[in-house]
Amino acid sequence: MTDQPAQAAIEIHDLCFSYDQLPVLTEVNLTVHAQDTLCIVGPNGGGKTTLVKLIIGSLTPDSGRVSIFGQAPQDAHHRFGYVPQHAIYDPHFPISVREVVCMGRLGHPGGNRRYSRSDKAKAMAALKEVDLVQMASRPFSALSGGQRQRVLIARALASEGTILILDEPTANIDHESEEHFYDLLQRLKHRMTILMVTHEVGFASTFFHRIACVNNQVIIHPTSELTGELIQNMYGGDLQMIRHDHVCSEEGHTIV
Amino acid sequence: MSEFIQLLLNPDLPFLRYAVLTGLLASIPFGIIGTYVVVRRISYIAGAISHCVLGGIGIGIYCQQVLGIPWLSPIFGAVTVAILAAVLLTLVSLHAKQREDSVIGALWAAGMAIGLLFIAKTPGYTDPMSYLFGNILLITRDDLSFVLLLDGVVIAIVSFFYNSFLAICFDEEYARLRGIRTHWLYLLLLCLTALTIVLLVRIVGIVMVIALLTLPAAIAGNFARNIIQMMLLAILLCAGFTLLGIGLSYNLDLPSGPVIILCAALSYLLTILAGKLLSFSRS
Repeated sequence: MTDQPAQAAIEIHDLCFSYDQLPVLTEVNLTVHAQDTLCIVGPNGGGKTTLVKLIIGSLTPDSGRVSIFGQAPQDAHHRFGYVPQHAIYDPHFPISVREVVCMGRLGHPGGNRRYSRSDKAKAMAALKEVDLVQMASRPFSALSGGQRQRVLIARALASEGTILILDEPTANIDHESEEHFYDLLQRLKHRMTILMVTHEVGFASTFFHRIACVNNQVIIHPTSELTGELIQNMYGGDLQMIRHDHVCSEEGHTIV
Repeated sequence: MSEFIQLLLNPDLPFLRYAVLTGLLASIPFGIIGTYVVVRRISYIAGAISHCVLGGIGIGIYCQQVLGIPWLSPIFGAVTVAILAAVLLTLVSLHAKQREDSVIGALWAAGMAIGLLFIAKTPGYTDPMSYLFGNILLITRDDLSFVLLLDGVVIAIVSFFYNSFLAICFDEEYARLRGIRTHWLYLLLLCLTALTIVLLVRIVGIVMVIALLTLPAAIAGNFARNIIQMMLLAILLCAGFTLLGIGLSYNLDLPSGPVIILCAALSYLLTILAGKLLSFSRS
């Protein structure tokens, strides 16, 4: 919150969205300030990924609005560092790690035709940040799930957006990569606004300032309020037991 | 084989030279566009475009011979219909995500039906077989210049948009987030595919187009580490299959299209088997 104290990084106002008349998100209001950290949790099908896609402008709301530093998401591409789930990629696609990271430089002047020397340098710097410089020439397909995730984070860093959005980054990655990932996130926290969709409430409670529970509606809690009771309401049981059938009903959340 | 080379140099047999030259030059767009079709997984869409082409050919034949419109030639009809199909399929992919395959299937069959009806209503005998299964030996000088033009267009456009094409094939959503106009690029890619297919139809025919477009690229995909390698290898393979196919079909007195396709299909099968054996022996 240094140069633009008045303007929120992300501001969502009375947003509604439905797929073919099936309401997915209803009357969402959400403000995220620069350098804030927000964790998005909720049941599968509750609208977490839809919310993320509305924020980055891949989807357009039925009503209400999303603004990114005061701009429409479609005009604010350069603000985002987006990290999709690594499992969506074709495992046989012939592409090197360097080429994947360089995609973060697309949309910068000249980058759509030839990557300049500074584009390449920025891509390598991003790879260094995630500790994968030695893998730059390797095929993306030869990497482990955890390494691929880090390459995608490097791509987001190379794009120099200040809002880092991660969609279930810890799904299907090994424990070592997971720890590496959390260390990385700690380092990035000081210079970026971080939004992360996750099922790992344990980590969320120590790292994120706030937690957004998404199930058709979006309800925000400061993580300091994340008591055992709230977690029980969110996940209907023990913290270690990650269930996907819980209900984030309004009654459940009023108990806080 | 030396006999075949002598035949190629025989001044009385220009058609054989045209066939071989066309096959070699056409391998360039086939390898490049085939690579995109394989990695973007749109071979079914390429199939629909190729079958629609018969509609354009039929309309062209009818207009030239019955209505007496000299400029509306079968090749003009084929190019127009192929581009229209590409535009339509781009719109469908944008607006009818769940129903995309039904629309592709409808376009596929309707295009053929239109073509066959127009051919049936054209007096005199037009053999649809040469359009359906191709005959590289019927290639003329005009076709050759069309191939050269296409080579230039494909190489120019792909080298200009290389990074963006790579991005929309690998991760379209991310490409859009980076401010790339993905819909326009996808349309451009489909139009290039359509033009390449029209050219291919002359050589292997409508029915077997998909095989020559995708098999060399699919084989190359097993060995390539990046898209450029995949394209180069696909071009070499495609040229090899075409030459081998023409040579064999000449020696064995068989139609060239099916022989070319079988060379490609057999190599694809062998690559898969070799890959399986290799991974089996390693474990």
